[in-house]
Parts: sequence; structure tokens; C-alpha cells
Amino acid sequence: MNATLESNNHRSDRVKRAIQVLSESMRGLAAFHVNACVRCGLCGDICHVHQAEPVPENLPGAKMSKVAAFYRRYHTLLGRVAPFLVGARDITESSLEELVEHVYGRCTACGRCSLHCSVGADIASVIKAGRNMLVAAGLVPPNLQAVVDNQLTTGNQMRITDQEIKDTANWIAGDLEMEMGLGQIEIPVDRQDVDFLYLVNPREIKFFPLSLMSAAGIFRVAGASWTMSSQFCDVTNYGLFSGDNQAAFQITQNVLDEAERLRVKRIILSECGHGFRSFRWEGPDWRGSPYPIEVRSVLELLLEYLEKGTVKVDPTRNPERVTLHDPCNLVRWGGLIEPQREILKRCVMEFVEMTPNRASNFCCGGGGGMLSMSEYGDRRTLSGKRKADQIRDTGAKIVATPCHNCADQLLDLTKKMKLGVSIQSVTELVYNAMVVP
Amino acid sequence: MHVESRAFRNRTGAYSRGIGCQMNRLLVLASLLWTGISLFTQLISAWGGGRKTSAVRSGDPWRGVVYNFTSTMLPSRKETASHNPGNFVAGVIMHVGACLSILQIVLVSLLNHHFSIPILFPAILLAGMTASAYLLLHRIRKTDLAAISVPDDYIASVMTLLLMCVAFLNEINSISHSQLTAFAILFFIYFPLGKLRHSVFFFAARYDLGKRLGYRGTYPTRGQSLSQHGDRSDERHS
Ligand code: SF4
Ligand code: SF4
Repeated sequence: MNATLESNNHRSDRVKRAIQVLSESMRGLAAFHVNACVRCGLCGDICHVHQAEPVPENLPGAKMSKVAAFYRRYHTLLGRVAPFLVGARDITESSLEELVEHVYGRCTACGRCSLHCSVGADIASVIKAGRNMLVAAGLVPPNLQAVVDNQLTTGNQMRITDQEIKDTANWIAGDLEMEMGLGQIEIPVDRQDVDFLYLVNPREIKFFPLSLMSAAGIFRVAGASWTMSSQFCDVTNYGLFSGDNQAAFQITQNVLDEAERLRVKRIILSECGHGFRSFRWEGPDWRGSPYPIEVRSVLELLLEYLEKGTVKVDPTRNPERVTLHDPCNLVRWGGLIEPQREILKRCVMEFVEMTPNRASNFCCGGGGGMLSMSEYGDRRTLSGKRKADQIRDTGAKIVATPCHNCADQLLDLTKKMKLGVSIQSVTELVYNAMVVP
Repeated sequence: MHVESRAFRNRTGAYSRGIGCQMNRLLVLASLLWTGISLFTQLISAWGGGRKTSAVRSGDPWRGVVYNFTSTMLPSRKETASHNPGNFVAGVIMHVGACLSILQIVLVSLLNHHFSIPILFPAILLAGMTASAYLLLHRIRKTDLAAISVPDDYIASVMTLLLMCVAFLNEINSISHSQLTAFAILFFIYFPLGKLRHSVFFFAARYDLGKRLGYRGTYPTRGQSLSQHGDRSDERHS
């Protein structure tokens, strides 16, 4: 009896928290957009998830409606007095549980629909408000939550130890020395008073060191003064994906504190879509104040090297046709659209755009934390079909991918859909083309 | 072009100036006030003090706003429009008809004044009614659209259709002043309650997204190509 009572109390607390967070998250942002949607249903073929699986639940407007139904119930007159008329719904344990699949499992929050909606409703922001609410209710899919927890407890999403980071840096530096023939090369870790702290995606350390190796080689030629951190090396921020603003803030702040400890002048972000968005745009808002330090993408730095002639390239070293994937969080939500194109035009012999591209490009299907949520793995692969078709249509042999999350998904698509392309970071292509002095 | 501007005369030929008519006018005014105040309150509460951003901007928020109210609304930039030209055209026609109807109904019911351009106005209203009926049928017949629709969607569609019918009947002098005002009152009472409120939130939403994306440098976009039937890669650099 007591246990039931306790559990009911617990439940109502959870629901209460969800109601409160929903109204906070909606205010000044998503509330405009839920009220703007006219449920015209024209957004189906804008969304890669709906294209792959055209069921009503995958319509962007329908996904938004799932969150809007809660909003209407507590924030509109008809929603309060005649909920059935406006499709308003009570927030309950079961309705929250139902929402999980809609906002995590059917949407990557890529925002493509936000740009093409009939009325201009930002569906992705509403989906985010739904995720914020589920965080408050403790209903984040466990695998996604585990990544956030890893970041908070170990400083990186893959629980890589500081020793592993130092060891990897050493052997990559050794390989670089042999390959470049420029004498001793160091990948500095925890060095103080340098120009910049370089953040990487932990998968660069663990599984795909080519990207880090390329960056280190380029930095060597450019004479950059830089360091990695053994404590907070991670450019990613899964708090953005889960919708946990508090965790996302903490992850950002840990890096800023580390930058302060190392007394660096700026932070350079390795190629990562959501990492760029988190650090560049959302981070200051989570903090509530501007950063005391400059934060830039490595793409901006590379372009600067090329423009100034600090690094010289020979495009004939990349003779194959290259196309470019536009990560949603880098391009649509990050506004970093042209530097990667400028770089590729200098470094490869033939660069072909995908159609559509830039801010209208399709999500690869792996965004929004989808890669970590194995329960939606089949849908993730299926929803990458549009991206696979885009790639195929270009006839390219290499897909330049300025995001390691997207690279994971594209590698998977390449294998499963037999695309016959190689997935490379922009940094790798610059390194290939670089003329070693 | 012949412009007709006159005091409203109902179908019995009598000008509407009686006490009942004054009462009706007051009621219309009250319902209009209800709409205005209610929408304003909803906007303010949705805004809730707004959100400040602390990130250093890399674009121009105002250019983003302008862009989001101009180019992005054209089919060349909006796939919901380019992929659904029929719905887009019907939507535009319906909105023109609805706006004209609201203007007409307010003028007649409140100021007792009828303003028209013969042939043109009735034609717009007829076209608006057709478009509105088409969109309503589309909602009923398309299974996935019906699946996401709620009663409010149908009520709003029917209200809009009726709105244009009333304005059209007024154009051809076939509706009494009291019938017209009764509908006006009903319409304005419902207006801020359901999805018709999008007429205000449309502006708020476009403003908000345009400003955010302008601030980040995403808007205005340049050189971007959209998804079309038979997509192909059309931009090469070698
Ligand atoms: S296109 Fe926009 S207005 Fe229409 S259903 Fe989708 S989200 Fe709603
Ligand atoms: S944000 Fe992306 S995944 Fe989500 S509904 Fe819109 S287009 Fe689909």
C-alpha cells in the first residue's frame, strides 16, 4: 500500500516536473512555432525519416503535434476546457512514455522541415522542447543517457583515460614523423600557454586516428602552437541531443575551465556538427554569458592557413571526384557553410555538390543522438536512404564529411547500401593535398 | 477601375441604422476586441520575455528576418510549395480571399460601409471559396492528413469557407445586416481560440526563425539548391 502511494507520488512529481519544464522550454521560442502550425501535412517529403517510412507518425507536423498537444492542454483556453477539439492531451506517465519514440526515435532534430514548413514553423525547436521535458521526467533513452553520463563523469563520451590519450598522441606523432620526414613531431597534451586547445571527437582517438594525424601534420607545417587535453578532450556534447541543458552546460563549462587552466588563447573544434553548434551557439546561452575566449572550427582555421599561404596544397594529390556532406548542426544550425567548400575547391581536382545542398541538405540519418540509440538502429539506417541516393547521384568516389558523427552513419550506409565511396574528413583531404616544405 | 463605396444597404433595400443594428455593431466591436486582446495576450505569454543570446553573432539577424519573410516564402526556396504547387496556389488564393472577406465584414458590420470593386472582389471571393473547399476536401480525403487532423482543423476550414461565403453574399447583396453581423461575431469569437490564431503566430514564427538563422549566418542562404523531382548534381568545380 505504502509502496504504491510512494510510487504514485514519485510519478506525479515526474509529471509535475515535465509540465514545468515544458512551459519553460516553450517560452520565447517553441511556443511561437506550435501556434503557427496549421497541420497542412505538406512537410512529409521534406523529412528524410518520412521519405524512408511514409507513415503519418513520421510527418514533421505530426511529430510536432505530439509535443504541441501537451502545450495546448496547459496553455490554451480550448485545450483546458475542450481538449478533444484541439487535440490537447494530459501529461501523464504513459503519454510521456509514448512521446519518447516520437521525439527521439522518429526525429533527428535536423531542422530541414523548419526551413521548408508552409508557415515557417520551427519544428525542431518544438521537438527539442519535448526532449527537455523528457529529461525532466527521466525518460531519456538509456543508451543516449549513458553517453551524456560518460561525458559528465569522465570528460569524454568514450571513457578514454588520460593515459590512453597520451599514448595515442605519442604513437600518432611517431607515425607522422615517419610519414612527413620533418624531424621530431609532437602532439602536445596538457601543454600550457599555447595558442589553442584542440578538441577532438573521441572516436578520432579510439578508432579513426587518421583525422587527428592529419590535423597534427597540418598544424606542424603551419607552425601552430597548440595542445590537446587529457582531461577534457571531447568536442561532442550529447547533452544537446538528449535535451539536457544542464548537462550540456556542464560539459561546455568543463572545457572552458580546462582552457583557462591551460591558459590558451582560443579553442579550435575538430570537425563536428553538433559540437560546433553546442560550443559556438548554444554554449553561451546555456551559460547565460559570452565566452571569455574565442571558439572556432578547424575548418575556419584551415581556410585561414590556405588563404594566407601558411599551408600550400596541390589538388592533383586528390584526383578523384569529391562531394561534400553538409552536417545539419554545422550548416543549418551553425551557419558554417562556405569555408569547407572553399577548402575543397583548393584541395581536390573535382568537387561536386550534392543536390540539395547547404542549408537545405538532407540529414544523414545519424543526427540527434540517433547513432547512440541502438533501439532505433533499423530506422536510422533506413532513413539514410535519401542521403545514400544523393551521394550516388554525384558519382563521387569520396564524400568529404566535416563531422565524425555523420561519418559514422555514412560509413554504415556505405557498407549497407553498397555506395562504393570513401568517407573522409575535410582535414584528411587537406593533409593529402598538402605540400610538405 | 470602378470602385464602389457606399453605406451598407441590406437586401430589403433599407439602410441599417436601427437600434438593433447599433447593438449588433457593439457586439461586433466587442468580439473584435476579444480577438485582439486575446491574440495579444497569447503572443505576450508565448514570448514570455523572449530569449537573449550570448553568442557572438556571425550574420545579420535583420537580414535573416527579411529573408524569411520574402525569399523563403517563394516556391523556389520552399519545398512544401514547390512539391505541392496545387496546395500552394490554393493556399495563397484562400488567404487573399479570407483577408478580403475579413476586411469587408469588419467594414460592413462595424462601420456600416461597403467598399468594393465590382467583378474583381466577387471573383476573388469565389476563387477563395473554391480554394478553401478544395483544401477542406484535401484534408478529408488524404489519409495521412486526416490522421493528424483534429476537430479544430475542420472547424477552422469551415469557418473560413463560411467567411468567404458571407462576404460573397454581401457582395451580391443577398445577406441581411443582422445575418452578416451574427456571423462576424461568431467568427471573431472563435478566431483566437483555435488554429486561426496562426494568422498572428505565423509572423512571430517567421520573425523568430529568421532572426536566429540570420544571427548565425545561415540566412540569407546563397547558392543553395533545393530538392526537385529527378535530383541531380548540378554544381561542379574542377
Ligand atoms: S508544413 Fe508546417 S504548418 Fe504544415 S503540417 Fe508541417 S509543420 Fe505544420
Ligand atoms: S527535424 Fe529533421 S528528422 Fe525531425 S521531423 Fe524535421 S526533417 Fe524530420
